[in-house]
Amino acid sequence: MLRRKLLLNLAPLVALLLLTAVAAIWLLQGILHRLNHVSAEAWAVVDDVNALSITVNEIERDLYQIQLGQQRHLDELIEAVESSRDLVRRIGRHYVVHEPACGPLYQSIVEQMPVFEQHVGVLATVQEPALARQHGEAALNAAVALRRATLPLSRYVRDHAYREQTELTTHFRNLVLGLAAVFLVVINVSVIVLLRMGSIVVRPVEKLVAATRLLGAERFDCRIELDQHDEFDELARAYNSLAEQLQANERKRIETLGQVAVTINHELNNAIAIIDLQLAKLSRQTTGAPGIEKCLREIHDSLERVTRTVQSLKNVRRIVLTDYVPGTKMLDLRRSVEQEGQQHGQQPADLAASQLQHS
Amino acid sequence: MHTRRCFSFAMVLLSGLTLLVWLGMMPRTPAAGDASAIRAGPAMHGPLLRLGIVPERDIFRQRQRYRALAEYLSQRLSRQVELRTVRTYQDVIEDFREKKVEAAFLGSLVAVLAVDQLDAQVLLKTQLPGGICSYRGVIVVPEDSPIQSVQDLRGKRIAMVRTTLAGHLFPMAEFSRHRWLDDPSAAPTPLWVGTHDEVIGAVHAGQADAGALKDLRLHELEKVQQPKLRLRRLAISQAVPENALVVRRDVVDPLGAELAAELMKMDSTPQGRAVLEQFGAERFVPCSLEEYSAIYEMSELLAARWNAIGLSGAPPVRRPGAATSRSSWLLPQAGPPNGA
Repeated sequence: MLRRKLLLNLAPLVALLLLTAVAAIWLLQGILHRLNHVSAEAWAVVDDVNALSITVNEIERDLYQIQLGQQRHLDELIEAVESSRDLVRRIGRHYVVHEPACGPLYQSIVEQMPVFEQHVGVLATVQEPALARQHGEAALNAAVALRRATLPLSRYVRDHAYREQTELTTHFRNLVLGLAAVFLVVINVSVIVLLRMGSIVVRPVEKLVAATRLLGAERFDCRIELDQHDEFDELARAYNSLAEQLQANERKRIETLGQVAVTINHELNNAIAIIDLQLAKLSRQTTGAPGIEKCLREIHDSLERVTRTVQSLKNVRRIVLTDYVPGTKMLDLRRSVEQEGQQHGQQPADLAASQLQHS
Repeated sequence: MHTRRCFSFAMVLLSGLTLLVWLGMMPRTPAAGDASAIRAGPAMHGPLLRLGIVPERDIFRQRQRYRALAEYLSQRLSRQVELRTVRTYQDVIEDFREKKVEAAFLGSLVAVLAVDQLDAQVLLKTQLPGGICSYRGVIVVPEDSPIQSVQDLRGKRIAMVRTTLAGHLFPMAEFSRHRWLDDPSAAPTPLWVGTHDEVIGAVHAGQADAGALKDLRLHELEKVQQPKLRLRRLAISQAVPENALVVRRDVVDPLGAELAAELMKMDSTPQGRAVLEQFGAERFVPCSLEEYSAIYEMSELLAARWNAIGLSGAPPVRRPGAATSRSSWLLPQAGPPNGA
């Protein structure tokens, strides 16, 4: 029962922690995805646009070298052109180039690229100077048009990437703050739940410990009241039952003691009355003998003490034992007849009783 | 006990789910495919085989065709195959001389020059769809041109391609036949372009009155650009083998033999056929020097003016078994293309 109660308290806490953790991971993963997008796509398109510009330069350099006869192989040129074609295609796959601000720029690149490619292809192999000039000019114009579109496109996509990065940074900061607040709340809730769980155990344990102390002090009238319906409740009931049994035993012992006291009182009173009468007679006969009178007075006092003692036995309310000789106990008459509240000073049992009442 | 087990199970389950969520949301690294846009050479390592190609057509499309073939050969030969596209037909001769290529796919004239000047060996020729494994040189004019015959080309501008049979040797032989080479004012003025495709471009753009080119390229471009492109043929040469695999003499054995064997059995495998289709050929077939007799005849005719007409080195010398009758390079009249 107690375990179930603890689990019922603990399970929502664990679930809350897990949900919070999953939510935090999910949100952070979202940020990571966006971060990945910015680095892999937004900056990649910036790199691609820059690479396109560089490749166009490389193509022009290769063409120049070919025209000067410094190069007789066209492989680098062909690869550069193919690379630029691929770059244009890759740039076109990014959504940013289709935004209204840079759509026309990209369209211009798409239109100029085949023209550039065609003239570069002819220029690479043409041998007639007039034709070379003609295609050279056309290629140059196409290259200029490409650059004219590439440079602003590069600026636009870079600005776009910066914007995305800034937005992402702000979002990340807000997320971290939000998560910190959520975790503070979760920690507080956890502390409250743990305290509540602690109280489920600590409160009955305290009551049981206090009651056990009272029992140790022979205060058998003490009872524990718990309303938890768990193992502690069972323990409290067992304690109360034990205390009741002990109290009943105590009551029986006191009754027996009272009956013994009545019997002794009855038997002794007759003897004491006779002794007292004989003492009065002796006292009259020995008038003027101070030594004998003193003896008689001591005997009379002792008789009175016996009478009081026997009388006290009838008034015993509880059995309080004290050491007589090592290994032997005797009744502490004075404390046994006293009411519980008449004792001077507060004993540990009283403290326990007050604890029990408070708890 | 049961409650405790349930709780433990729930904890393990939740932890597992959390881990799965975490793993599932891990940012992915950029896919390897993204990088493939920047073209890399074949991944194969091993001895290098440099394969020369000449700029017969649009250099970018031509390289795409040859790239498929190079990748296939790279796998089959366990060698790294590198393509070397030269700027002019003459440059591939220089590459052979400087041992910058081991083999090359060459047009007929360059193949003969490589054999003659560098003792290279012609091994295979390409057989195109329809069983076509030879081509001819043609001289064309726009259909509406007043030029009716080669005779009318006197003093005109003709687009030509250096060091090719179709674009250089054949028209020069024609000019020689009309005795124009001795009279600079009578000879048509060459407009030297880089590829056969550019010959058509120059004629179509009006930059040249006529053009001399390879008939196979003409047919292909006519197919693509009809009815925009309408040309009339003035003269057609004898057939010579379609682009042939020429191998440097010092690497014929065993590299040349291995290369030829792989190319010849390409059409027997599905993968090979797919590559051939991409390449635009049906298969590779053996080729002998005797098939180039038309070139030797034209070379003999032009031997005296060999350097004057813009061809370097000495004219190729006919080898035993390559002899045919004089003036057989020219068909009696212009007509539809002859295939094989």
